[in-house]
Amino acid sequence: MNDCESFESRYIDWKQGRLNSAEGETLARHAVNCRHCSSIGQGEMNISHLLRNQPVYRPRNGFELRLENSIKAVENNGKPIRLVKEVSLIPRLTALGAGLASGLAVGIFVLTAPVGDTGTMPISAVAPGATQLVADNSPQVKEKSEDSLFSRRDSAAKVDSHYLVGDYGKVVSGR
Amino acid sequence: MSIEKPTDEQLIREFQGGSAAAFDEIVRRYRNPLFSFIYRILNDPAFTEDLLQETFIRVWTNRDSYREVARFSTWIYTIAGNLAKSELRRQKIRRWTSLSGSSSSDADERPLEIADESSDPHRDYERRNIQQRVDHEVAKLPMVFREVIILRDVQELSYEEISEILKIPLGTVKSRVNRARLRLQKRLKDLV
Repeated sequence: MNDCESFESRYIDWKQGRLNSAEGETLARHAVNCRHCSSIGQGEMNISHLLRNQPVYRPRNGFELRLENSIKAVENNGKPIRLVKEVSLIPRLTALGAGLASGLAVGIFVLTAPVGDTGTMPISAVAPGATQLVADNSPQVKEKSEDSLFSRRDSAAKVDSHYLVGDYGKVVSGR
Repeated sequence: MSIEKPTDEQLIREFQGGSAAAFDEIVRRYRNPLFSFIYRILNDPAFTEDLLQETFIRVWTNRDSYREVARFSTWIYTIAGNLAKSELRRQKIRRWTSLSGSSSSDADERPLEIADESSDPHRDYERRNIQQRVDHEVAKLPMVFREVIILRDVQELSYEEISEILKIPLGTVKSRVNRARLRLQKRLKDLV
């Protein structure tokens, strides 16, 4: 037992005056010269004392027999007999990995795909005439396309306003 | 005339020479201290018994790799400690990957058996209550503090042995022990 262990094991006896003066002096001399022991207070030693008095646990009865059978099993087939059934982590981790990968793939697709993306279908199949707009970026074509869009929107608005006016007119005329 | 008990090192030497009785004696000597040590790290009796068994199986199968440069106790505690820490890591992964988050052992609910139980039920009841509080608080310590405090104050190993088992400098062991005691002192002040 080195000095620190001896100091710790006799500290409580020392503080409670159960050591003779020579033993007390030895401990005091050690505490002056040892940074570890000089920092130990009564509280820490009480904790140490409490832990030392904790019960010793033991395995359930028949442990030796189970161990013997397990050693035989290891020698026969390389695997011990266990109390807890081991569930392999590989299927769980594979499932978790697959889930994360598919989640990530969907996330990337959603973030990177342009609005109105048609996927693998040719654009012309979805919007006839659009191929030309994408391919030809000249100002005239752009203008033309924007015009046509506006004109379509205008005509739609005209139809709507006509409708509204018509309806309104009906209501007004009804009053 | 008293017959001196053989040392651990003598026993393992006999075991290396083929004596199964020497192995039985090693199991008898280390069964309870190692069970307490592993249990206080894992807090799961069924896993603890499996790891205790695994520790002895490793001693059995690797008996020839033990060299008398280190104490036998250092060697066997190193095996048990490494197994317990690996199991803790596995349990963390298991909890993380499990939807239910529950442990797989059915034996968890069984009360732990105490090696030196007295015949006074009232005293034993009080002891069990204190023991549960202490175990709970020790289990809440971070691993670096938990392992040193268990080895030093529960298992009563020397600082030097702990330093060899955990492969950390002696000064680090001492400072960790002090810090662990301080933490426990705050949490268990009503008991000390």
